[in-house]
Amino acid sequence: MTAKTATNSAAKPPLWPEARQSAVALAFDVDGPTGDAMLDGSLLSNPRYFTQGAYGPWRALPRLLDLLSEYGLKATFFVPTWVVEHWPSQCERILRDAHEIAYHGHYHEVFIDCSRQQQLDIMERSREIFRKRLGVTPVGFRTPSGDWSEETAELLHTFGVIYSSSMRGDDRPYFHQGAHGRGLVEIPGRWDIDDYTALAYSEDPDFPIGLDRISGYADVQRNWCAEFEGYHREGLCWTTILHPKVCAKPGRLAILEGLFKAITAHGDSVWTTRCSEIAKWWIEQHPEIAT
Amino acid sequence: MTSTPSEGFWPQGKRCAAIVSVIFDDGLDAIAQAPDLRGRSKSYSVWQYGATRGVERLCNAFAAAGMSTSWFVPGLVAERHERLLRDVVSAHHELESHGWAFERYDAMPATAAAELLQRSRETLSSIASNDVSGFRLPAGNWPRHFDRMLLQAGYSWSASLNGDDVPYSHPSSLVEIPVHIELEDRPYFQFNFTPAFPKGQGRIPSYEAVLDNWIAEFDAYRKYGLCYVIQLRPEWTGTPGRIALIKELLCHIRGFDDVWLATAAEVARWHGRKGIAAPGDHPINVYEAYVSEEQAGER
Repeated sequence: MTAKTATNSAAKPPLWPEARQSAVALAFDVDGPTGDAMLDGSLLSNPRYFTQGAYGPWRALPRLLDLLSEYGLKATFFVPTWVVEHWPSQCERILRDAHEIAYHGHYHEVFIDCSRQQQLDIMERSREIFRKRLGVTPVGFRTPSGDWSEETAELLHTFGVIYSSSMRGDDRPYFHQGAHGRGLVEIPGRWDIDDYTALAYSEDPDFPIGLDRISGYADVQRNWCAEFEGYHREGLCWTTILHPKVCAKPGRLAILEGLFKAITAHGDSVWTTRCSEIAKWWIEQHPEIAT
Repeated sequence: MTSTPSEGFWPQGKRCAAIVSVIFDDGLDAIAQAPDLRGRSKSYSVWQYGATRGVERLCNAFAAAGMSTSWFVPGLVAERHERLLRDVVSAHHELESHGWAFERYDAMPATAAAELLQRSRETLSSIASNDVSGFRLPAGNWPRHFDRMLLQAGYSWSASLNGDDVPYSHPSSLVEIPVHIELEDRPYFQFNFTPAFPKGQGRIPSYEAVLDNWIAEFDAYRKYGLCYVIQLRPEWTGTPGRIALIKELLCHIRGFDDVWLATAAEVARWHGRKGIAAPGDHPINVYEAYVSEEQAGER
């Protein structure tokens, strides 16, 4: 390995399995029509916006799954369980294609605005739906709509979740601090690779607030590839915050295809896998030292 | 479920459909956002440019490409620009309704809505050479069961909602030709300082990048066998500098013989004849289910 990696201390365990230079956890948030407008009820009278969101699970997700399988890539899908209830067959295919499915609220709730009990109620409701509709119990969580509250990490850990992919402050996994030792594994992402920042556009409700322009697709592809290459060069862990309804519209699938080509061009030196595999690896590599 | 329409989906053995549409509001869309615009002649003229120069320039580009297009026009604008629109329709372009004067159908009684819908259709029909059968929602939200109201007012299709990339049917059988905002010119090009359009006064983007996006979308719609609907406004792309983008885009679309180049009404009639209801998990039906669930208090 010629590139400078984050493994700079001989005493530390290797960041990644042997012969792997970096880790990539492709991740997609299948929000569909859930989110703020569903939470505040304004979506009830706005079918234009509803159908724009519903396009995600209905049209964009199946094509995205086709593309992932074409490139032999496994990914993680964070899905609000309202979407699971209304598009069960589309969600079943996520699992059939050997991707991971993980928690993302029920209605895409804002966790920082929810009490401890409300957060727990959402998690229990989601777990029940995942078990009943899809026969799985997820182990991962990505916080929907902005921040979580001070008690969330501990609550999730006690609930049985092993990792979160919610934070922005690192480019490697790390452990949240629990009340009694080590908590959740965190697989942090960054806004730089959130498709909302470059491509999402809606006039009513307005997003972005100033109605700035939709970026040129070719520039977006170059930016996203530059992000991936940077993480790979430094031997880090790259995850994405992509939404099928935004990034998997027909013409934008070509952006993803460009990115998938860049990733697969590195062959086995990139460990492209599900978030849960990275979390489990991280836990194994960092045995907790008894205090 | 399949993610792409099967072979034989489109007529005449074509692989996909492409519709070129024009939205000619003559500034009513801007006034709906900023009512004081009418008294600001400098700013208002940004939009008036469409009727003065843009319409003719777009028409010339369409003529050069040998294309028939679908024009969505508010009834009031049709009255105001009757002579201009007669020139437009004489070159085989079709007129469809964009309401009357940018009214909100979700904020008026059903009788008033029905009256305006009918008036718009009659006014446009007196100018059009086609049977005016299509509608695009001008402002506000699509009221619940508005599909039924449109059918009663003599319309058979709409190009207002999203949720798919091929035509589908509302529960009432009204045909929907879904439209996508990244295939409109306004989000990319609208600009005015005061009142501010867009609100945050984002930079005018690279023309080449916009053309590349529209072509990338077209190529993908063709690859996946979908219905591409480009939506142009004379005030934003009917300009000397941007008409070249339109010419290039049309030339690109024209470069394939497996594309069903049709007007929106032709595509709507073709879909309507099939008489296929949308599946239960189609966005239009999930929306109905969602409203019913919420009203039943299932939350």
